[in-house]
Amino acid sequence: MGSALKKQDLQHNSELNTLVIQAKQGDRDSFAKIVELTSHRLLKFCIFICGQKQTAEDLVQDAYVKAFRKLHQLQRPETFMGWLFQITKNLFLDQLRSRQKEDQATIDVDNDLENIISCDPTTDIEKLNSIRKILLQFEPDERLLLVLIDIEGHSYEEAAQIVSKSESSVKSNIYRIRQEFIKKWSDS
Amino acid sequence: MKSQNSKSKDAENEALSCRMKELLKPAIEAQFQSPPFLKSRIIARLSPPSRSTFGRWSWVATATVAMALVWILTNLNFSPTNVKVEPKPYVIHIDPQQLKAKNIDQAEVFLPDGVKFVSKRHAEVTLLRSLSVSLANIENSITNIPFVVEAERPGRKEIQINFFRQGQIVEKKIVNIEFHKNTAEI
Repeated sequence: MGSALKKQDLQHNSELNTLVIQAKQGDRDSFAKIVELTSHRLLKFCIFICGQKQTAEDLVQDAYVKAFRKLHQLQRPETFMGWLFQITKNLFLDQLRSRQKEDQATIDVDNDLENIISCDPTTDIEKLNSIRKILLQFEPDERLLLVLIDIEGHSYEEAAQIVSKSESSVKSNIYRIRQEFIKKWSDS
Repeated sequence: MKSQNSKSKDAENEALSCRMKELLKPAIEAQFQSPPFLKSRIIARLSPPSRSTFGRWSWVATATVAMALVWILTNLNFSPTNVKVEPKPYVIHIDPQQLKAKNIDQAEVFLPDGVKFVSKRHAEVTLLRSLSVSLANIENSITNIPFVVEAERPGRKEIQINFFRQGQIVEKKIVNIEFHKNTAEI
């Protein structure tokens, strides 16, 4: 089972690498296939960091458009996903900054997740909603780390590259954030 | 001593990580479905690759364009309308199920001058000034019909949408879009 999954992952990665190489040469159809293969993962990341469906979808769109325009700068196709997450993180923080400037930094935590996302019917919506509400109590950069490492499953090293910090600083930050999350969870 | 401390903190962090995995299990396992038109919307926003036809005389053309640009900048008053901005598509979302619930069977989108429809698959829509969609045959699973539009230059434009019931207009809606700023949604 495990090796079958690994084999599937390897096939997926090799398909993605080929598509990235083709898209780098300006092939928009290959880029469309990349979107097809990866958008559900990026959308999940964005929903947890933004907390709102519309904002998350807009962020996903902006991230892919920016990625396509900057694809020629990507040196190693195998690092595409990490690079895409980095672009998304930068856009997310930029959008937050500009909204704060416009005094529009509102996050609607009262909307139930059930109404704002469509997901697998077996998903425990109530628990997902609690997770989302607790996540939104964290600062954006803390939320990013938590989602990247503990939900998305990135290693400390990968997360450090995405958030442009040292691995040791990521480790010490996630230690504190995890403790805080567990405390908030028990209090809720 | 220091390394022992760091080792114990690492071990504690690993224990916390395991606890987090338990708590976040629904989030880790959740599979989110991308909205139906996400890919089309992204592709619509990718500008086509530029094709150079200058050939070996490209440097002459580039120099001429540069000189013309200098002339324009020195001879014209600078205002935002003189700036050529790369067109950015916007999406108007129509929810067919909401309209069907109101017994509306057709919607027609009218564009003002300087605005055009954009579609990768149906490039011919660029030439149309209006697009009509019949809602009767649309499946119940489809909850969003996106119309991608693009303006020639920045500014506010009014897009009119008429809603019909048995051939009669029952409602009109004006969507104001500030082009190059926000996505319009109704």
